[in-house]
Amino acid sequence: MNIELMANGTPSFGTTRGASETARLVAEQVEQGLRRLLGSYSLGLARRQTFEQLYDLADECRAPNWDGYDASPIMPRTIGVASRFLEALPIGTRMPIVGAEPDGEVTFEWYRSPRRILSVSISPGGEIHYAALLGSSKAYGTEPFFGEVPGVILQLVRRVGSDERRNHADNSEG
Amino acid sequence: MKEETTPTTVKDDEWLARFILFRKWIRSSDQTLRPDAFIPYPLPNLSVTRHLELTPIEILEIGQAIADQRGTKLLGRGDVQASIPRGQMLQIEAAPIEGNLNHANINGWPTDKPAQKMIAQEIAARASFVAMPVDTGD
Repeated sequence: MNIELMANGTPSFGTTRGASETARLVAEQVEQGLRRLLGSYSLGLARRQTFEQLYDLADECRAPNWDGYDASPIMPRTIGVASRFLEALPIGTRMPIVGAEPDGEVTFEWYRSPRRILSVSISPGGEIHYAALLGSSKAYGTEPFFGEVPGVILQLVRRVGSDERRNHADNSEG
Repeated sequence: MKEETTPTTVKDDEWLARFILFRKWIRSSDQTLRPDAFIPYPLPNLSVTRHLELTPIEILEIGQAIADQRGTKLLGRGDVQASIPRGQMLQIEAAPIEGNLNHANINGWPTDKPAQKMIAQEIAARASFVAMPVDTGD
């Protein structure tokens, strides 16, 4: 059978019974595609909100002593590296919570409980310092950032989120 | 607390308060503290206040005075027992200062950042956040 697109972009099917069944199947697929598209929009929203948190942080911490304990300001260069890190997170990765450390580094936190947490610090020089508590296990170290999120970080993100059911949809892209 | 009665040795079961003056150090989801609040900076010390015999109001007053002095807002405090940082091989030293005779420093931190973060996570995981009766705005 022929399926043609009409001038307004909607698919046009024949009028036979077989064509109607096919049309129904196609319509279901279109609907599923639309759902995925709408899902993609809302998931993109999570990433956008994370960027907004980052820019709010930049504004809040641009002067020294933002923590009341003589913290160093967060430099624009650090925000730039942090932005590139966020951009490099693969689609489907749960978005982190944005924070700051008193030495002027931006932090991204994946948190499930106080003993199931990954914290990543972004330095102005492009170093990624990370530490994770995963029950009784620990992992920490430093990785360079060259535009791709290091595999060890992505593995830890997955481990923090593993078995997670609650609140996942609120803060994820996949 | 009067100066002459402030013990110089910090016991393991003493409670220490870290005043919280930055809202992003508090997780709004469950009112716990982020490890960022326990990163020592400037090195080598992490500044805390010993509870000793202070009442909650007196602790609040010290924190408020610090916040006022620094032009920021007191959001609350993170309480942790001295045994927790000691369990991470840190030392706690009484360091009275003007206006806060219960002031102490947690020192002995490693110099590399990942190790500091790991210890800060351990402390934060055992700390309790006590919010001040103000809106954290988070």
